Amino acid sequence: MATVHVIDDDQGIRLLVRDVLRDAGFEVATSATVHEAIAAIEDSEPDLLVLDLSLPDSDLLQRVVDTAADSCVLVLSGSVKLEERAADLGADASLAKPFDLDDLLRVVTRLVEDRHLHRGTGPAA
Amino acid sequence: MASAHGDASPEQHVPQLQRIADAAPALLWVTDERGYCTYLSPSWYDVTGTPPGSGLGVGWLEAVHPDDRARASEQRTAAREQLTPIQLNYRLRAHDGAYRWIIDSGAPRYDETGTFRGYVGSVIDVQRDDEELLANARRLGFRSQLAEALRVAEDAAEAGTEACRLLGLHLGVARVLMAELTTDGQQATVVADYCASGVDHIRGTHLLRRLLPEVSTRGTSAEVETVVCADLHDRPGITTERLEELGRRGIRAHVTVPLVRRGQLVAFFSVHASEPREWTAEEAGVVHETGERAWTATERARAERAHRASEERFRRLADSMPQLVWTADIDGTVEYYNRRGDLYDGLVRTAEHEWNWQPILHHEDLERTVTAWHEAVETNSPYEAEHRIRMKDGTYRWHLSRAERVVTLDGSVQWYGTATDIHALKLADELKDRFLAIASHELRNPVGVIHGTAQQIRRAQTLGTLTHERFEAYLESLLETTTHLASLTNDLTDVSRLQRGVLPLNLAPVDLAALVNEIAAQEEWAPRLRLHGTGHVAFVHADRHRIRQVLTNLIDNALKYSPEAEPVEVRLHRSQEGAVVEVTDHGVGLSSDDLDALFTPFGRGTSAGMVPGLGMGLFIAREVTERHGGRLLARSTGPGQGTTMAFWLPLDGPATSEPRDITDAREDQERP
Repeated sequence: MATVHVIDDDQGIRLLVRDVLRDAGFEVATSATVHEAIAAIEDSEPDLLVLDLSLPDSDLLQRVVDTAADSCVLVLSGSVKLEERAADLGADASLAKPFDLDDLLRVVTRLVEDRHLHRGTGPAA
Repeated sequence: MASAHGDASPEQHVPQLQRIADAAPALLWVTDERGYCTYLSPSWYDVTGTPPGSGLGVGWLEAVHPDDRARASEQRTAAREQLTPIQLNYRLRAHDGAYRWIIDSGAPRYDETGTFRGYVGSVIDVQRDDEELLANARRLGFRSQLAEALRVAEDAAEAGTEACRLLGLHLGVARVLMAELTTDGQQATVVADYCASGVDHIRGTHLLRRLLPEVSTRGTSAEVETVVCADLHDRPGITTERLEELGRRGIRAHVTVPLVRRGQLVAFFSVHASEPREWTAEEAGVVHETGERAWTATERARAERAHRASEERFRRLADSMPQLVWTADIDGTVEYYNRRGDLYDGLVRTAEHEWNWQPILHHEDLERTVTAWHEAVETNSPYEAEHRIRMKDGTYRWHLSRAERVVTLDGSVQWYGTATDIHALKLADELKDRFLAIASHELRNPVGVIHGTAQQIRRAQTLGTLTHERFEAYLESLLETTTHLASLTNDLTDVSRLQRGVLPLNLAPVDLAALVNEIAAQEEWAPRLRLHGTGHVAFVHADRHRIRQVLTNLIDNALKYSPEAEPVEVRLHRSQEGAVVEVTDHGVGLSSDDLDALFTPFGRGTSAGMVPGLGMGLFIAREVTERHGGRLLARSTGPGQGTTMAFWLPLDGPATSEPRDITDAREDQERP
């Protein structure tokens, strides 16, 4: 089962993304801050990191991306400079808030499948 | 002397000299050593009408006035005896029988041996020449005086008055006046005059036919002619009453000249004599010439005054403009700045009297500006640039500079430009951009939650995964998010009302201490707050709801920008004048630039990072505070040093040091 870690300071977003991905068969964990996330993924790197850009400790964002060196990164944000900032972080994809759940699932599935293809570890879920 | 005559004696050359003397336009004579006339040029006989040859010997004396003959003869003899030059005045009878004064002058002549051989001389018609000389001199004197007077005249009235006065004295007349036609052509206004002593001035505006005799503006201007009248009494068609009236005004004879400009009759120049007077053609000519020159000078003086007035008007206008106004020549060299130039730092003239504006431009904007200006000058196209200009206080302010190239009436090229201070506009524009970015971001999150959660409810229902717990959680999420959105929109409404000055306040006594305690008691805040001095009542006259909003905002901010491990201090002080609530965090702190930006709408410290919020809170807080007559100040020793927000309101009602109740009696009470 592919693993996803969601970082967003908005409780509503965490709840939503977690449930949608769980229903699609992903194993989902969430964090409200980057700090929290780094601690959580240090031992087990997820297949996919979903992160917001506007976080209380967003200065740590690059660190969490670097920490999850083998993970795919999806930026999920309402920032007007979404693409630019996602590219700066070295993210694999970005999706603007508000987003459609089908789009979210499509992007997440593609990223995870691509990752497994490249690693030769088989499809997700 | 002999050498002066050359190498031959006059005798030897008499025939040749005589030919020359005969042809000369002067009246010449030669006498021998005894005083007898041996030669008279033919003009003698023309002037005197005597038969040719009759003047030789002493025959010329026949033409001299009998009363002058003896004296003339004696004086010549006396000069001959002493060999001195002759200078005689006597009357000579002309061919018409009239006598004229002449000057007869001569000098002794000698042969090559130095022997006296008689006199040679000439006769000048003194009477005619003197009069002409005198008249010429007077005319010349008058003309030069007139020219000088018109040249130095400072205004139109002075030019006209001087011309009238000089001509009046020159001609010895009763009055000289210059009258300008009114626009309807029926009346004339005396614009300048001269009156001899005892003659009354004519002033003001009059019907033309009452003011000036014998002129009318009927017909085309070209048909109005100069009137020269020696005696109005000789004129037909003038009533006795009119003649008497004119006589009372000192008008018996006159010369009146119409003044025409660009085909239009514009004025009359009129000279009056109180007695009959035969005007010579020359006098009429002088009147005409003086009138023309006086009117030209009048028009020029008026044009100069109009020009000066226009110049003055331009300067006043330019100086009152709320903009920097400037002009530049065809090469782009600035020639003029209005008084507003004083507001700028170092806008001074160079030694070459050129204005150098480049040093006061912000270095980042200089190259762009210079390029734009040169391009405009080279291509004759309008100039426009936005740049920062240094003010007297050393700050830079954004300006919009614009200039147009104008070809003036005389064909020269001039640039007219302005620099408008758009600093506030520029900042507001930046603020608007920032607001849109923040607002867009701040709206996207909650809308994302609402939209996604609604979708998820339906989805989970289809999938059969919508458990009761999930449904409750989604509902809670939707409520929380919409509450946040509602608060955002309330903030926006507050900002809008504050900026329009229409925020209503319901003022009543409010105990600040109680309010602080109440706010601080919130479940999620209480553990992180340390309260000081909230044990005593501190009444202020305020809108409880609004003050609650301010305090909530300050504490919320402090908690948001402070690490969770660090407490936030809330202190209440009271003095005679007011109550202060200080909220101190140990958070990110602020730079001095941040402190300035803090209270602008949508302004946030650069250390704010991605802490969510529209940045309206502190703006609303300060505005609300100031509406209450209070002050809201931020203090920070710098980034990383924490921030203190001080909220001050004037005290209302008796401040008591009595403890309100036992539980709140402890000073520096700390929570938890």
